[in-house]
Formats: sequence, C-alpha cells, structure tokens
Amino acid sequence: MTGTLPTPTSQELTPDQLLDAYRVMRTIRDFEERVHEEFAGGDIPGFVHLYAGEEASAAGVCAHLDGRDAIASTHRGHGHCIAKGVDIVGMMAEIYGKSTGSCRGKGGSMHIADLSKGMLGANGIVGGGPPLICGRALASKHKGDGGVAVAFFGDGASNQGTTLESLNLATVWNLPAIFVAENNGYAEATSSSWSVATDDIADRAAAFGMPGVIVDGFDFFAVHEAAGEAVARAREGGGPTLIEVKFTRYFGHFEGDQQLYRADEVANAREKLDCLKRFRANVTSGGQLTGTQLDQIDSEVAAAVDEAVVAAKAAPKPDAADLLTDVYVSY
Amino acid sequence: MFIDFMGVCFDQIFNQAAKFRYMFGGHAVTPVVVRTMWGAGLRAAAQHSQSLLSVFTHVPGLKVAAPSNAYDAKGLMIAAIRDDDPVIFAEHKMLYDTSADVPEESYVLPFGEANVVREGGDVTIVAIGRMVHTALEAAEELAGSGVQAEIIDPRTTSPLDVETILESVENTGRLVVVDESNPRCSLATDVAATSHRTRSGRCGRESSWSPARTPRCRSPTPRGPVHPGRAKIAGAVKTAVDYAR
Amino acid sequence: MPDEDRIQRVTMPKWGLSMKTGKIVDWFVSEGDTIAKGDDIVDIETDKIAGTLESSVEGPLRRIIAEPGSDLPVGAVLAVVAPADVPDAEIDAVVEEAKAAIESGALEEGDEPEPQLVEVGGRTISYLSLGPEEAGDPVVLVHGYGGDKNSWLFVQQPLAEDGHRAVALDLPGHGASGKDVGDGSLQTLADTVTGFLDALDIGRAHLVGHSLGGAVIAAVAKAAPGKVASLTLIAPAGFTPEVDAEYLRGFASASSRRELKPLVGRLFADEALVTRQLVDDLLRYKRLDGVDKALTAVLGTLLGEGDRQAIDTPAILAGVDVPVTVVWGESDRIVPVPDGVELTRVRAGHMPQMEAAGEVLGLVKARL
Repeated sequence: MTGTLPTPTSQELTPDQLLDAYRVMRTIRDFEERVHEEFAGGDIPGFVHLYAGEEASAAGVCAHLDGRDAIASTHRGHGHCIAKGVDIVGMMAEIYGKSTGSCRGKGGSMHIADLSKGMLGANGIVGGGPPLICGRALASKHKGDGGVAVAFFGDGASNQGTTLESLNLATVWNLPAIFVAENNGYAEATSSSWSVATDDIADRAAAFGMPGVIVDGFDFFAVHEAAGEAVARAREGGGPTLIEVKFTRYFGHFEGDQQLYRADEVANAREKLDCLKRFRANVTSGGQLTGTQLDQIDSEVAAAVDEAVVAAKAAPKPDAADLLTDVYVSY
Repeated sequence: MFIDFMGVCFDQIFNQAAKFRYMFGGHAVTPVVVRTMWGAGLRAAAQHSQSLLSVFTHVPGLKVAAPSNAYDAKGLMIAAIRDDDPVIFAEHKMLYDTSADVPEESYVLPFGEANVVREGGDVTIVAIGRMVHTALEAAEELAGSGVQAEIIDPRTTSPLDVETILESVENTGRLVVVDESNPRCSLATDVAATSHRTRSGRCGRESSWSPARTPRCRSPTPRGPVHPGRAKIAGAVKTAVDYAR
Repeated sequence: MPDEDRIQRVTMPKWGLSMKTGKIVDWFVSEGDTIAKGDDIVDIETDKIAGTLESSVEGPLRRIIAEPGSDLPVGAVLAVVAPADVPDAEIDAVVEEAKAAIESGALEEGDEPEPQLVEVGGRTISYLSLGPEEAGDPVVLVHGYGGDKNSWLFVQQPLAEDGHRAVALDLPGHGASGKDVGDGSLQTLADTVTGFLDALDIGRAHLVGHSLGGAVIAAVAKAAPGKVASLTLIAPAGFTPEVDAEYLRGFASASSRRELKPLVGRLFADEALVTRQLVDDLLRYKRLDGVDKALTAVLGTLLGEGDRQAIDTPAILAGVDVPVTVVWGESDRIVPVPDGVELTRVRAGHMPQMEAAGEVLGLVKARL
C-alpha cells in the first residue's frame, strides 16, 4: 500500500488557504531562526530543538484540522504548536521559562502545550506521542465528535515500541488516528538509514494493516494532499494512516549540537529544496498569489516574532513557590 | 494486571500522566485510575510477586492507594475515580478472597487518611495491604505477653498520613514498620525516617526511640525468610520494646 | 415451686443488631449479695459501646460464671440468682450446663432480625421491627440528629422481650434510609414519620423521640394526634434557646476520626463509653454520598439566628392532647436541662437512652 503520490499543485487551494499556509510556514521559520539567535544569548534555559526546514509537514497536516482535532508532538515541537494555532507570544515566553508562557514557564520548549487548541504537548520522550493520540482518537470515536488525532514523531521514534504498539492498536480499534513520521534523517546523531530496518518507515504500515504513504517533506502541496486523504478517511471511520514525510532539519538535533555526524547537506537543502521557496515559486508562477502578498506576510511575521521576543524577555519569571503548584489537583 | 508488568508502561505513567498537570502549567487534568495487583503470596516467582508501591509513591504527580479490606477498597476506589489526579490503585492479590461489611451505597474514603486499625500504647506498627492482617495476628500474640500494639494502616502511600503515624509514635515511643517490599527506599525506610526526623523536633524522648523494620533482605521472590510473617513482626516488636524499655 | 423454677439466670444481653458477643469488664456485685431488679450488676463492652447491665431478676447472687475479661456470646449465662435454700449441687448443675452451652458454640447461631425498607413519600426508609406485631399500640423510636436506629440498642430489644412491638426507623438522610431530605425541615421529617406509620399500617403508636427526634414526634402529634398514644421526649430539641452549636456544626463537617471522636464524647456524661467502633460507624455513615448535604440541610432546621435553637417544641405541643413524658440527662452538654418543664432527670449526658437505659425503659413502659 506504500506509494509516492504525484506532485499536486496549488490549484486546489483558495488564495486565502494559500495565504494561511504560507503565514504558518513563515511564522515557524522566523520563530525558529530567532530562537536560534536568542539561544546563543544564553537567556533561554534547558534544551531547544528547532523545526526549521520541516515547516511543510506541520503546515500541510494541520491545514486539515479544526477544533475537534488534536495533535501530539515531539521534542521538536514549536512548528506543530504554531501550525495548530498556539499563540507565539505565549510560546516564546514559555521557551524563555517565563510565568506568562503557555505553561506558565513550567514546561519550556520541550513541553509547550495548549490543550484549548488541541495541542497535547511537545514531548521530551521519544515515542511519547503515539500512545497519547490513540487515547485521544479513542475518546473521539466514543464521543462520536468526528475528531481526528495526529501524532507527529521522528525517525527515531518510529523504532520505539510505543509507536509500533500504537500503530497496532489504532488498527485494532479502527481509530481516527494519523501517524506522521517526520524522517529528517537522524535520530539525534544516528542516521535513519542505519537505524530503521526497512527502507522506508512507511513500509511498516502494511504490517499494521493501514495505508502508508511517503511524501516529499519540502513540498507543502504533497504533504497537504496526503494528509487530506488521511484526515478524510479517519473522519469517515476508515481508520488510521501512516504518512512518512522526508526532509532535512536545518539545525542540529539540539541547539549546541556540533553535527559532526553529517556532511553539509543543509546548505543544499536551503538552496534548492526549501519549502518556503518552493511554495513561493509554485503559487506565484501559477498566478494564485503575488510576491507582494507574500512579502507583506514576511514583514508582518517578522514584527510579530520580534514582539514575542520583546514580551518574553520583559516577562517575570515564575516564583520559587510555583515549583510546588500544579503537581496535583489536590493532595 | 500484576504490578510487575508496569514496567512496560512506565513512560505513560511516570512521564506522561504524572507530569501533564505540572508541565502544562496547571492547564491539564489526568483523571486516570490504574488498577494493579501487588504483593507476594501466590508463589508465582520473580515477575509476579513484587511489592512496587514505593516506586510509584516516589513519583510526584501520582497518588497511590493500597487498601487492606473490602470496605476500604470501595471507598478508596470511588475516591480514586472522582479524583482528577492519576491514581495507582494497588490491590493485594491475597486479599481478593477476604470479605467485610460494605454498604450498598456509594461512599468516599479520603486519600491521605490513615486508619488506626488497633489501639495500643506500647508500640506502633505501620503496615499496609495484606500486612495489616499479619500485623493484627502478631498484635494478638503480643497482647498475650502484655505488649499492646497500635496498628496503623496508611491506606494510601501518596499522600501519606504522617500526622496519624507521628501521633501514635509520640505516644508509644516505638515504631515497627511492616513492609513486603525490598528494604532500600521502601515504605519501611520512608516511614521510619520521616517519623524519626519529625520526632526529633517534636519529642524529647529521643533516647527511647527505636525504629525497626522488616524485612531485612533483598529478594525478587519475597517468601519464607525474606517475607514478614507473624513471628517476625512479633520478634521485631519485642526487639523494639526491649530496646526502649 | 420446684427448685429449677426458682433458679434465675443473668444472661449476656443483645445490645443492637450487630452485637454477637460482649466482654465482661467488671462486676459490681459479689457472690452472696442480694440483688434487686434495676441494680447495676456488671459492665459489659461490645465492639460498639460499653454499657452497664441492669438486673432483670432479684434475689441472692449464688454464682458468677463470667470472669472479667472473658468475651461471651449473646445469651450466655453470666451469673445465677436463686434463693438461699436451693442446694449448691443444683446451682453447680446450672453452671456446668451454662459452660457447656458456651463451649458448644450453639449460642452463636440463630436467625438475626433484619432491617427492612419501605417507601414513604418517595423516600426509602429503613427500619427494624422487633416483637410481636399483634401486641397493642407499638412503640416507635425516632433518633436524633446524625443518629440512627442503633441509638435504641439498649431499649428496643428489652421492649420486644417484654412482649411489645418496638419499631426503630432511620429518618431521611440518616442510617440506611435514603439520603434525600428535601428541604430538611421539621415538617418534612414529621411527615415522613406520619407516612411511615401509615405505610406500616400502624394506626396508633407510642412515639419515643430523642433530641431532634423529640421535636419530630411532637410535630407528628400536632399534625395527627389521633395516631399518637403517648410521647416520650428524651433530651428533646427545642426546649431552650441554648444549644451546643459547635457540636452540631462540627458533627456536620467532621470527616475524620480525629475530628469526630471528641465531638461524640460530648454526647455522653461518661466519655469512656465512646468506643472506636461507635466513632467508626459514625464515620462510615458520614462518608456515604448525600449525607453531607442531608446533615447540612437539617442543621439549618436546628440552628437559627445567633446559633440558638430554631425549633420551639413547647409551642408545637401547645394544645396537643397527648400524654407527654420528658426525660433529660442531668449532664447534658448539647441541650441543657430546661427550667420550668416537668421532667425526669437521669444520670446521663445527652444520650439517656444509652447511659440510663433502664430508667428510660421504665418511663417508656409506664406509658404502655
């Protein structure tokens, strides 16, 4: 059932949908580039894993989701948050560990969540998300609310027992669940060509009785089309889908990663494959949008990210007493 | 399922369920109850015999209940279901066949409220689950030799009703903790240490203070010599009484 | 008269439904003493309560069988009373027979009377009926705030043994009855008792009420005097403005043994009577779903402005033509003994039916 879809075009989306998609991808890119710069300043605590280069995946999948739907993310979760509509002011403050953050500064980069947006959290545990979305999808199925749950996970997590068990359960329970394997080539420093037993992660779908597709992760439209089919199938009770999205991450595994394990494949990707560049070329050559419209978004996003950073820096830190709150509802 | 099997879902329990509320800044509740079977007694070898309460008790965000009788089990289960925090509900496998008067109606036994199962002024025995019954047998035996044991069943190890334990220990001056688990980082060491520390600050009779713990050995199959029985409990009590006479 | 008929046995009483055994604490009389009916003869402890057994026989105490500290089944012979001229050998035979009965275990079996349920005004009421149904106007026992039919453990069984029908019920929100009390008003509670009498086809009854139950049966008599043969009010609510509001509020809110035990102690003149089991049973009741709400609602019926009693029982009774007996514990710390009311004082706290059960029993029987 694994296959590569023909490259779709921008013709199937309305100009407004295209503008929204571009804004999401541009916001993710600017946000991550800025966090990269800010992290070097030393004011951001803990670990930060950046999503730059992978924008088309989050944007292409989440374009099909609405308030009924939920996503579970990874340690590389900023892009998923933004694509699911989480406010970047709260996100940036969270990354800075400030009390105004999405999680009051208690989660940080690896645990940004906004349950009100159906964003079930970035996750510090590789393979932590798939079981969560099985639960969420099961809840939607029981409630009959038409909701779909999506787990984003990496090539490393694709080898985890929790992921494989979740794939199995999703079929056994016929869940409205979608598994998006974001294969950026490396689990930390371990190459997926070495660590994944199959040629493609999507090949594993057959073993769990669900469709598996491979898409070019630099191509928003390819992701969008594959996700659209999966979401429609899930909503109609047709069960789960595994989508493998292939691309390259632009930064290291974490901020500070010396990346001695890979040759400079990033320069080539940024130059020739970049999802934002391809999107711009696609929509402007087809005539759906003008360069001016996209430039306008670029400047709005730049200002918004700047504001988020200024606000995050100015915001107060949590109190020491906050270490003891929210551990339990009651104790 | 057997508490020994929890290893396969540690991440979901420890890192996901237990942490959501804190990590998400109080914006999440995780109202889940995980029922599990614990304790020795079925002679079922190393992977079906453990008493891993302390492992779960150790994790912030989790609550742990371990009822010793049917009445407590119903009240604690209803409390657990109504609780918005994740609860590990540990049912001792050797207690399924015991019976007690249980009201038809719903009722809640609050977490963190120990039960003084037996009153006595000479020694405090803290025991949980099946060990409550073993301790009671030991207490009856001890009563024959003039030693009156007070038995406290904490009922939940997280939260733990430290206050009731301390009140009793301040009265008796002696503490024996009966714990089926392995001795390091166990309910036994925790209760002994907690009582001793607080007691030092609260009570001047330091010299009469004598914590004793059972068991003393490590084994994945807690049976026979490494499992606390009536005689061993009585022996520990006598040691404590003699120490602080 | 043959000697056998002149030998009387003092037996382990049955105090309450769940009592199976009792522990002999201490004898107040010695072999050779002559005892009279109503004398305190022995302290007995059950898992619920400690109490004093009052003699129902009279004459010389020939032999004490039950040693202090022994735990004996209900019905076990504890002592033998017989005139001095009954030969020792015959007394010895009774003692041997008594010991054999205890050892055989035969005393521990037997059918237990079970509480029953009846629907009254959409509420489920639990009650226990003891004694023959055909025996005259029955005695109906109504407990107080937070109590239940077990309040009558020293009274109900002796009434039944004496050939009377004695029925104890749990008010709405109490004991094993449904926990819905509606508005919790005195009217609602009284209507329930009236409806209960109808539901059991009891045309007329001697009503005995303790504390809140006293006010409730007064209201029943006011509304339906024809159904009431007499009223026995035991430390009834509503006779004085004063009341231990702290007790009432504390009882309503207490959720642990630690909180509850000192409060329950205030009910008794002798706080040693409060056993762990008594407190545990109250806690078990208080934990039931709906009890909190019920007790809070009824608390509003008892307590008025400035923490004074909201009920005026003498006003309710004004003009009610029914014989009334009032009995009060002289050490009552919950509702003080009122001035200017014709009443019998007994040596007790707020629970005369437990602490001075014999006298209360006598007063109830006097109306039958």
